[in-house]
Amino acid sequence: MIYVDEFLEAIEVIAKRLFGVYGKSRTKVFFEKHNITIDDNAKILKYDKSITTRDLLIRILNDMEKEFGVVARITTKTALISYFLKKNISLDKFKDILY
Amino acid sequence: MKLRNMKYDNAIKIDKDIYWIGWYKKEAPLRSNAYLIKDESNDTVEVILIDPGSVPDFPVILKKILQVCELKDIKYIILHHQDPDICASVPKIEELVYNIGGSIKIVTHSRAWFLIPFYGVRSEFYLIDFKGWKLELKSGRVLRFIFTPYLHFPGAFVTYDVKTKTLFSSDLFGGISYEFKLYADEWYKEAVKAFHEHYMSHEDHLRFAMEKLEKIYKKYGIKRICPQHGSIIEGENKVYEYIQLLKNITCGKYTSVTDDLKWIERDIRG
Ligand SMILES: [Fe+2]
Ligand SMILES: [Fe+2]
Repeated sequence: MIYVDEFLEAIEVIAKRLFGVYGKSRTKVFFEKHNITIDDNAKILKYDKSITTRDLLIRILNDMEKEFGVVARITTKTALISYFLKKNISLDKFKDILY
Repeated sequence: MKLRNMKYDNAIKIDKDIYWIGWYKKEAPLRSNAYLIKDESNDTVEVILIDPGSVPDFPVILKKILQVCELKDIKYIILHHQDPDICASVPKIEELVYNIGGSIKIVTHSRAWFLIPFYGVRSEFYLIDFKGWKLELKSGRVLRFIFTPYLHFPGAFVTYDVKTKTLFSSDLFGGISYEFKLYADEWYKEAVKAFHEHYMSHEDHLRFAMEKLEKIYKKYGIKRICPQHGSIIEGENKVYEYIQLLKNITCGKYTSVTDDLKWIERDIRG
């Protein structure tokens, strides 16, 4: 991991989950739409620095539901929760994003 | 793309006498896999259907059954629990088999036996927890049943075919994926997590079941896992990886946090 930013890490968790549920190509196209380039291992190579990473995460979550539908929201929500719990990151910090 | 889809239109042999007879549709998140064992010895043929599926799936499943066997040879239907994606087509299958003079036994756990009759089934039940957790076929082939309570039903179990070392795992090891692949690829783990984080009740239950499966793996070997959703996990190394994955997953209560009680706090505050 070349960065230490919980929001960016969360975006990567989402990318991995979308790879598994929707496939690589659809996921990559979706991320490119948000100026985020990911590699074949769902690692972020480049991202939009004109907004905060927190806002970037929120933007992705909101648009993801429009783009992929409710299954994407359900399956990435649990991915994020289990990731935060495993890393001992308080869910309170993400309350407004997750629920 | 058309050609790629075509191959899923027919029954697919996954071992000498085991067939995938599942339902396939492009762009569906949760597809149901049904399986068929055609056990032959001397002059006898015994066909076992495993989690044969729902009412909408039935025409497809029936077509695939008929590609592989005769209806009269269906002797057992294993129902790993009572969900409609597993059981709802059973009365339709029964109707066809009984109309030609055949008969079937429904193999399940006693807890599911409380509920399965609500589908209107007519067959005799073979309750695994009263039969030593095994079914012996005429050929001598043995199917062993392993109890996996609360994953996701209190009476859930999986089936281990001793002959081929195949584990029919029902919802366990299932995945949510829009891109259907019969065999698990590098990203299937994410699809499995997506399914289990929600569907399975508690990590303790998963660990309990995985420790049992690990014992079987180490003592007898598990060559493949055939889940009721998602992709087949083929090869002993992969099987081991997926057992470890489910041993260490976060699920159920812990991933189901919501703000559903926010309104109570709001009402209390006034
Ligand atoms: Fe189920
Ligand atoms: Fe199921």
